Amino acid sequence: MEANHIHRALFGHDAPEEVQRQYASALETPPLADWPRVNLDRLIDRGADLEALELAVRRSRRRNALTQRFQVLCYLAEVRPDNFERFVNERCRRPAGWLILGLHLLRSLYKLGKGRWLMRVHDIR
Amino acid sequence: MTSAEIIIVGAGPSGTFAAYQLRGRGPLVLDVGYRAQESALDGNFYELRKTSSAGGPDLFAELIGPGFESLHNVFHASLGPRLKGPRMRFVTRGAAELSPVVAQNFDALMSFAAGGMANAWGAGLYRFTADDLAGYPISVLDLEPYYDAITAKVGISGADDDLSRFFGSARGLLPPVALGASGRAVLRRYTQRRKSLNRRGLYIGLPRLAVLTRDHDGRRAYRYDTLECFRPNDPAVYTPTYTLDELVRRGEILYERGVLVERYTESSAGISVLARSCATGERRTFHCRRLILAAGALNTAKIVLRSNDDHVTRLPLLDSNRSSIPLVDPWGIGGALDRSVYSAAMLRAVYAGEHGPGLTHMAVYASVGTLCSDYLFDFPFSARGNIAAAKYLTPALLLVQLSYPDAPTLTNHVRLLPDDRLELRYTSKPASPLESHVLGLFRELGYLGALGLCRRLTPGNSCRYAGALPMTTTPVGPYQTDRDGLLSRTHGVYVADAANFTVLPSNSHSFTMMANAMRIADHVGRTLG
Repeated sequence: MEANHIHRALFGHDAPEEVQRQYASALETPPLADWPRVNLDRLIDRGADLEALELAVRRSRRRNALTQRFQVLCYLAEVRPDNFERFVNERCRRPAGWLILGLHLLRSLYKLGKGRWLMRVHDIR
Repeated sequence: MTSAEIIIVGAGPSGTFAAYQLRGRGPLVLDVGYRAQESALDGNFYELRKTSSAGGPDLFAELIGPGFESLHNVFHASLGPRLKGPRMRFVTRGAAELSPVVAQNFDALMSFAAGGMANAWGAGLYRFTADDLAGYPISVLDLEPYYDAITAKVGISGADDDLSRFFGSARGLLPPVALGASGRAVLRRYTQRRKSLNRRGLYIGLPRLAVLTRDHDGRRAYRYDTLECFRPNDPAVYTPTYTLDELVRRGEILYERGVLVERYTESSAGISVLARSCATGERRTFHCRRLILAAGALNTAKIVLRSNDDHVTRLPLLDSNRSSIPLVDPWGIGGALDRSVYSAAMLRAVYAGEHGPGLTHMAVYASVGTLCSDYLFDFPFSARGNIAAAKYLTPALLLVQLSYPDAPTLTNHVRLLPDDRLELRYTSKPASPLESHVLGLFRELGYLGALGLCRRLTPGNSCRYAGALPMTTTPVGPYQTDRDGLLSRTHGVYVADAANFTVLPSNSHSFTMMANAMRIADHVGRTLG
């Protein structure tokens, strides 16, 4: 469930089964298994916006368990051929690049505000 | 007991080239010698990721690893991109068990692989100049024949350009490795402003790499697969294992693998080398007339201290401190990523102005050949925005890495503790004003960056250690060597790796380590007639 929610926050849809399996396996393997567990279930049950929360937590603490979970899933997703175009720009698209980054800047500001509000609501420090 | 006229400890760049110099005399090389697993990757890094399907290589196994090796830095930020890939982990395998350390402010990286750390190097080989050798009891002329011999053997690509005055002779170089669009853009802008930049101390040029641009010595030319972070032993990218294997195959040296040398004792009958089998733990003794220590700067120091049963003396520890400055080319945003370039080096730069601690060498990298997830969360956007940034910003990113020189100080030292661990203590140097100056110079070239994004790497991260048993004209005490590498108060123990470097200049020391090892081995051969 956790893999699906993070995958949805990153890519807008559920994680493929293989990624779900790999993510679960990663959590059972050192050093992830040794890392303090974060209980995302409560946040997921309440429908919290994990992407907003991750950004807000990352802005206050660069290394934190939520960002680490996101990063683990990014690694697993990035090596899949179906995600290649999400990560690698093969053709020159300068105006599109600037426009997309500009829109993401605005979106990130909104997510940051939302994330900070969620941190207060869910009592996350 | 096994006997040999000459024993060499270690088969990294120094040990291998000491063995190469002595190849007619059949030296015995003792080494732990971990080896790489074969990689199934064949083709270009990006093409494989784009088109991989059933029947192709298992990208999860090759790029992430069954033990999630590539995720190492999510939890411990100490391994460079060329050390953490699943097939590259053999380079640092076993180090924590075979040579445990207690480190303060020092990320000690050691290798017990055949070929040593050079399995994961960027393959940059730069000659020391007279400036770099200031303080050494040897000169460029002493090293020159060995630099030339290695150039001929290994095959070094590069060019005679603005950096030749800092890199020494360009004799025997192969044509340079081709640059991608971002590298060409830097050089084009530099050329347009050369006079002004040179006046202010900045010089930019092509790297000198042990990367073949045409077939050489039975190895094929580089194919621009951009797989340096994931596939070990690309025949085009030199590692000392190629020479080691060749020497063994030809029967020109004896090679004993799986052996960890612990100490030596010297008597009138010769030198006894005490070692331990890595597989069984069984103690073994070897006997020789001359012993050449080339186990890496830290391990060589450990063997010498242990042999003297010395848990008190603090030996000097030198490390090439580094800082890195990320830069963005606004014209590169949204550009196509260079997918067929050599990823472990792009350009070199040297700062020779008044703001640095002498000459400061810099490596300029593009962000290619790694997974974006390595740095994805360094971007300031939300996670989804960061993925877009990885796609559109990566082609515009440059990383300038500055290497600082180092000299012995009272605070930075190596000591052998009574429990047999190495104590490493290092005090970081204060931030240099050079970083802001270099940033200003690259701004003039059109690159954007901020001093706040400049990152000082933890000491030790460079893997360039040296200086524990320095060469001097007149050695004092038991922990200095003479100019030929002979350890003081011994009759036949020589130090042939960076442990005998007197100071560490900013310039990369790999080439000089190899050339100096050959020079010392040559001398050792002559002492035996």
